[in-house]
Order: sequence, then structure tokens, then C-alpha cells
Amino acid sequence: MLASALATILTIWFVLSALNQIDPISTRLAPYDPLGLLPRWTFFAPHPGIYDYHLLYRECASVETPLGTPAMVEAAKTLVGPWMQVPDLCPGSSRFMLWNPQRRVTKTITDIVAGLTLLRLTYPKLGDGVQYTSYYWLLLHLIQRPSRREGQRQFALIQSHGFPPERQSALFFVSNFHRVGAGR
Amino acid sequence: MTMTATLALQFTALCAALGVVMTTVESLWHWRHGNFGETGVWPWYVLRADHSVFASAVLTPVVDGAGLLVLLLARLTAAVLVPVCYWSGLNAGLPLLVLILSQFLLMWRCRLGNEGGDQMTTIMLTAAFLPEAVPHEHAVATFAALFVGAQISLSYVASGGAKLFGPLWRRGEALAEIMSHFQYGNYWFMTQLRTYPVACRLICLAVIAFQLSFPLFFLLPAPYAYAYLIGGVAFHLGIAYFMRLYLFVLTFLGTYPCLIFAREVFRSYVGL
Repeated sequence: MLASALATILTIWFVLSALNQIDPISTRLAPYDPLGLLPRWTFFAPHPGIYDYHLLYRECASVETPLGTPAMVEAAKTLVGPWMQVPDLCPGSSRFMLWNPQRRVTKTITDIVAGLTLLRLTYPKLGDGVQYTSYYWLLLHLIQRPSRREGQRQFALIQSHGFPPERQSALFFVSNFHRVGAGR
Repeated sequence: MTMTATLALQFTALCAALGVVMTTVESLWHWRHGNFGETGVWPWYVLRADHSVFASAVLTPVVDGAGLLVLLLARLTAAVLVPVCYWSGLNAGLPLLVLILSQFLLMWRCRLGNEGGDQMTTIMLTAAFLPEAVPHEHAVATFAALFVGAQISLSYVASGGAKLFGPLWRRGEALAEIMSHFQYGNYWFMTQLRTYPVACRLICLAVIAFQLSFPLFFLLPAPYAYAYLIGGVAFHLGIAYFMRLYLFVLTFLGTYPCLIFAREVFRSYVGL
């Protein structure tokens, strides 16, 4: 009796796993699978991950200057610093097969990019609504880490392909400016 | 020698436990570097927004701060105890249960940064746990081993099928492009593949053919069927070496005894 019940559960698990390989079904099943029981076996396919992602930020030391639009940023460009990369989030080409803990960090950025891409495809008119997602909050949190200084910061995700010096880069996402730092 | 379900699942559990040891040591490294803390890469104060208020409140003590450290240490201890239990003839149910529950908690805490090996680990641990939980029902071990064999077969067929929908794979350029990845690629291999595009195309097509035709493993007689296992070993070792994704080797090759068992059951069932 118990064996039959377990066999039924495993069969259902397998059938749901098979259905989870189909894209529209996978998206629908995801909210009901908080423990990650349903695997996605479509590794490197159909579109293999060929880009590295870099999280960059720049800051404006003033908290008073309005930077709500690109025109405002352009007008205040002397106050806005250069783009900088968050150092410990840089994709690194580890040579070690058995010890590469950093890959989890860079994979996190890649997963955030995948999540943002899915959001864009699912909700084409999302616009600034993306700011209310945990992906965005996490990125905002990550650019606050290098310094807790008060100011306004903006972040960007850059995708690159290839090895230096032939590496090609393109802008994937750029955020608004946000007040960050002490007391935030 | 005939593969038994119990033996196959024990090998599977050992590989899964070894994988857990390696990933947990990595997690402890991240914990020590503050990556799970408030200023880290995976801060709970941000990640908890994805969960219900009630579940977050209940589980915060075990997925944040010192509680998370205790969880990771318990996980590491349980992973070490699995082979000890098998070796000494004790029931490995408790350490396997700890591994499954901690796997669920960590997966629930944060999905970001996980990889395919983690998904297979959940399947392996659950399947290995069932016969330990119900030791007097021999059929449970059989069902559990068949389940693992079915999942690994599904993984190959689904991966091969998905590649057919990818233009880079169909054109035979995917491997060179993947190897151009700075994080996971390999400069030397990329250069070779770019220099010999026909070889690149052949490897891409061979991977698709290997994965899509994997059900033949169940139909072909020995020793021809074992060419698939050799192909699988080469495939996963290649990924581990060139892409430095070692967890795939441990988890996927760890399921192969279950695959062999599933083949024997299938062939005897259909009279081959």
C-alpha cells in the first residue's frame, strides 16, 4: 500500500518534471514550486548563455540635485562621477575546477538578468514597475555595498562577450538614480 | 554483476553527499566572507520580500545570521554521516532527511546562483531517502531507483530537444560561443573551435544526437548500450574541465548506477 502510494507520487513528480521542460508550462508551474522540486533540464539550450554580465554604478554626491530624467542627469553631469564596476561581482575566469565559489556570485547576476528578461517579455509595458521587484532591490543593494556614503546612485548592467582585449560589450539595463547611503 | 536498486541508490546517495560537502564548504566560505549577511550578496532582508510574511517570520531563525551557519554545519555533518552509516550498516535515513530539509530551506531562501547540479541533488537525496525510511518494502527502492533513471534520461532528451530549437546549436556554432564566455569558457578551446569550424559543428551535432537518442540506451543490447554511458562520462568530464562546473560530474554520473538498474528492469519487463 505504502509502496503504491510512493510510486504514484514519484510518477506524478516525473510527469510534472517532463511538463516543466516546456516553456509556457514551466512559467505557470514556477509559482507552485517554491522548493525547486521540478527541474529544468534544458541546459545551454535553446539559447546558450554566451554573455558575461557586469554590474556598474555611478554616483552623485549631492542628494539635492534632481536626477529624475536623462536631461536632468545631462544638466548635472559635472556632479555625476564616472561609472565603476562593483569589484567582487566581476566575472572571473577561474582556472580551478574543484574550487570556484565565486561562480555562485556571478551566476546570481546572470539569474537576475534572466529574471529581468522574462519580466520584460511577460510585461512589455512594465517600465518603472521593475523597481518594485526583488531583482531590482537586490541590484540596488549590491551597488550600496562598496560605500555607505550618502548620495544618489544609478546602476547599469553591461553584457560582454569574449575574452579581453577583443571583448564586445553592450548596455543591457540602466536604472534611475536613487538616494542611498547613511540612514537609507 | 546485476545492479540492485539498493546498491544503485547507495552509490547515488554517496555522490550526492559528496556534492553537498563541496557546495556546503563553498557556502561556509561565503558565510565567512559576509555574503549571506546584511551587506552581502544574498541578504535576507531583500530576499525575504519574495516570500509570505508568515513563512519568512517562522523560518528567519534558520535562514539568516547564526541560524544559517548552524544549518550549514548541520548539513555538512549529515553529508559526512551518510557514507559512515552505509559503511557501518546503519540506517542513513536521518542524515538524508537533514540533507533534504536543508536543501529545501536553502532553495527556498534563494533561487539565485543555483545550478543544474543542485536540482539533481534534490532528486538523488529524496530517492535515496525513501528506501531508508521504508526499509522493509523492497519495492520502494525499485521505484526510487527507476525514478532517478527516468529523470536522468529525461534530462538528456529534454536538453537535446531544446537544442534543436536553438539557431546557434543548429548551425553548429553554439560550443564556440559558449567557450567564448569569460566566466565559464575556455580560451584555448574557443580558439581551436574557431580555427576548425567543421569540428565545432560536428561536436555540436554529436551532443544533440547523443542526447536525443539517449532512449536507445534502454533498447540496445550490451555492450553497445554502454557506449552511451561512456559518452555521458566524457560529456560531463568535458563540462567539468572546460567550464569548471564540477557539480555536474558528481551528480549526473552519480545517477548512472540507477540508470543501469532502470535499463535492466525495462529490458526484463519488455522481454528484451
